[in-house]
Amino acid sequence: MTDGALVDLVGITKQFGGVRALKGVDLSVRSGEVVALVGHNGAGKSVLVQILSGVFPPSSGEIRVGGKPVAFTSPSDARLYAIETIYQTLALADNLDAPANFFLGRELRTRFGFLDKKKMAEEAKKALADLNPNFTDIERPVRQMSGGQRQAIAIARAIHFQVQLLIMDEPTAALGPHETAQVAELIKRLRAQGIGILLISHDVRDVLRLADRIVVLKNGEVVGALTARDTNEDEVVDMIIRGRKLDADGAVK
Amino acid sequence: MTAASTPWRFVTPIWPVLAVLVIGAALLSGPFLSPANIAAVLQQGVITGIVALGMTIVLIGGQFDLSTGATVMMAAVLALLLNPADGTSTVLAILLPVALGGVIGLVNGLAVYRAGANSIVATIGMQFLVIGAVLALVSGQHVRADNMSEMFVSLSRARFLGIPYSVYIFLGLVVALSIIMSNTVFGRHVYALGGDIEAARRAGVKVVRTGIATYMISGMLAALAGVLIASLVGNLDPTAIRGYEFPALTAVVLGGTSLTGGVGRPADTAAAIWVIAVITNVMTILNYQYPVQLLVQGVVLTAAVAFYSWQRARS
Amino acid sequence: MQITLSPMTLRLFVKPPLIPLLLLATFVDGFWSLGNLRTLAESISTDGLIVAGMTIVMIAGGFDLSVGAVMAMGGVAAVVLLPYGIVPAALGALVAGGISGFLSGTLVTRLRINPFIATLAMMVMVRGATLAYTDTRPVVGLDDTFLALGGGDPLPYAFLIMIVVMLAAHVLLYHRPWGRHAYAVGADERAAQMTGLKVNRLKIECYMLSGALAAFAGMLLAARLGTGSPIVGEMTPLTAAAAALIGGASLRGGEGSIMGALCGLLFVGCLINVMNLLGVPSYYQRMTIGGLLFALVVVEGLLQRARPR
Ligand SMILES: Nc1ncnc2c1ncn2[C@@H]1O[C@H](COP(=O)(O)OP(=O)(O)OP(=O)(O)O)[C@@H](O)[C@H]1O
Ligand SMILES: [Mg+2]
Repeated sequence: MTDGALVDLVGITKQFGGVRALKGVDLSVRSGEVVALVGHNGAGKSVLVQILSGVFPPSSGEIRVGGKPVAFTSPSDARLYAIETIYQTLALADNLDAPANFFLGRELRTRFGFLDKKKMAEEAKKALADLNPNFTDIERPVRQMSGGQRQAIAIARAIHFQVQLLIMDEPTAALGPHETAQVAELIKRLRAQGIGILLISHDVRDVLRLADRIVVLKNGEVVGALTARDTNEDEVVDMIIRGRKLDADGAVK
Repeated sequence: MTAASTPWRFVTPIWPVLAVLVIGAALLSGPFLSPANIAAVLQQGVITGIVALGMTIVLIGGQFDLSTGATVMMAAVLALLLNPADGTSTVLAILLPVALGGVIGLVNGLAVYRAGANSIVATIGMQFLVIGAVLALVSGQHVRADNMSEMFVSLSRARFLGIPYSVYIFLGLVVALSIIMSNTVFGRHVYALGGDIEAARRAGVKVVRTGIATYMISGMLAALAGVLIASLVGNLDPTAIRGYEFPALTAVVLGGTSLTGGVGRPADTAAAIWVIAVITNVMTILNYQYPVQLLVQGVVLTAAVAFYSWQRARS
Repeated sequence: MQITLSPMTLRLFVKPPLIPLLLLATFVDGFWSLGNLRTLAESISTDGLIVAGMTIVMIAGGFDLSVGAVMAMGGVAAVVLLPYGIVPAALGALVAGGISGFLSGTLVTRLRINPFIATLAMMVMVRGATLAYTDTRPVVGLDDTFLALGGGDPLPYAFLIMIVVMLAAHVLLYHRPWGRHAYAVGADERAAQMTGLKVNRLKIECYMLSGALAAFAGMLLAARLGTGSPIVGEMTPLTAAAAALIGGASLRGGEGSIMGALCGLLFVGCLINVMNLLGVPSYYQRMTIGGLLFALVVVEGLLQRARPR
């Protein structure tokens, strides 16, 4: 385990029937650190993310938060430890409006125990305006909203509630260039606030720009960890493809 | 269409339909507007209506409950078997069937939300399981309760302002469920379940617990409907009271509850219940028999489903 | 929350425990008597036609709750048309069933209505129409040729017909492109559509087949009972679904086989037969079939969860 780490994953494996999606993955994220998780399609990134956010348990291995082993039986457990996730496939209920999705699972109530719709609408509106000032018409079913607006809801809700570890599984996949830049800004801002971020992305240039460390996953195994400052695009790409590092002289180890 | 997409606001098309039907029925047949007939129409909808309210909740959550008709029968038979003659037995004859209805709902809910069973087929299986059990219990014979207590009889018979108590019970349930569905966390979560169950789970909604609760509500309401039947007739042939799930489902769908979940309101189901009650009443006045009414119900259901799916496809 | 049962263990329950049941049946007095075997053959033959249709519909990703009502309609139609000869009677039943299947299929495909609800509505409409037409009374007026159809020696004709239909269905599913397409549509409709299959048409054909077979079964039943009853077949969708599910069909579509369906049919048929021999009242049989179906879909649900998606 790494000293002072926010979250440690130790020897995580995951099996789906006959498919071994993860074969013993170690990973840790510290506060105020952006760790990028990269790898091929099907490398196991999303599976790892879902284990860390409590969607399903690992087949074996341990999750530690602040050094203490924890077991998540549901996503709300992970949330109790201030772990928030923005999923690759947007996890919004299409039939509900933005405030309802924003507060889903932790609704505000009035003194009498009823939904405090007014307050929720106000807070959601403010939080969303922080991300995108043009996003005002929020009280309609999210089915009618654009990919960028939906992503804004997912992001806003993840960072609104005292998050310590933010997991972002390809947060910019559905976004245009402008929104992508906004997300990059946001990542920097959150990092400065001391939040740990686990970022999954296929855009190696982005990753190099935003991350402190880069962890490469291949066929369910960690095949390398790089410090973003000391590496370059070619090296990362090569590691993703071949699963090993280039020697100083360019030969394959 | 905003009506179909925003679950807790706006007037859905069923209300104008109801208004037109009532006016039409009044013009078409003189006896329709007599106070006695209006009370009859109101009461006619109550039993099916209570069943339909429960099924609405389950369907908003994205699932079906076709075991309700059997639960109605179970509760009616059980209430009479408990022979509600005095105070204690009356309370028992109301509470026990309702509790058992809750248990049936619990089993349905576990099967559907915990084990992931197909809700239509599972609840049809449950329907036959319950009907068989009840018939076995009474060996297929009539059940009757002699000298039922006044309190028990008054559930369905007593009137206030010329309208039976059971109608007030129904209206009270409509109001209560409307508030629950649109103003409580539970209601919000049921809508989320029907919208995207995986999204709800990831957002921290206790989907299994919420889903089971929808089935338990449905089971308890169906049982309450059965108790009201028992109070109304006092003597029944168990094989004769069944099939309530179908008109109830028709009302639920007619009220605009989406077959895929996430959209619908208890009050709209109530409106649809009156629509069906008016149609049935007019058909009875015009002397159409049960088979034709069955046929018409099937047509209404099909038309309603077709209409709403067309409307949704358009928006 | 987490349910961990390996697919293999679960499948053991789904595979028909036919052999244990038959062994058990051996201890039931009179199970192996010729008379009883004949009764068994008769009872499974009408259901068998329906199970074949149901299996095909399920393979293509649908479901047919209307089979019981259509069976009653078929029996009534055949008896009503009998004065014009047995062939018109049979054709009438087949056409009536086919039309009802066509309507179900149209509701499912063109109007995109959930198949359970579409066929539930069809069930109610067909039942209502049949009851209205007959004024809820059985229709009689049978002739000797027709009644003879309900007999057959040594094997009941209905049984032979069922075997022929099962074989034909097997060939259709396994040795004709149509069958391949049905599996493809059931497994992944979108993909099948994109590879150019006529998905809607195929599904409608499945429902028509199911409807025609159910109506024909109704005619055979009427011949055996000597009357066309508008109220028969209430349990039929349940027994047929149970048999198809036991035989490996899935509510998700794309799975199932005729041989499996035959095993499922035998299982359900023997179960009911044994209960009859033991003098178990019909209420308990109803309970058993309901409970069986409930258990089957629970197991199927658990299986789907255990399987990688
Ligand atoms: N719920 C599941 N059930 C069964 N297998 C799964 C499940 N989720 C993922 N897998 C399998 O696990 C492997 C890893 O998938 P994963 O989604 O983690 O890949 P990924 O690295 O996120 O890829 P991408 O870049 O395409 O998002 C794949 O082989 C996938 O098929
Ligand atoms: Mg992924």
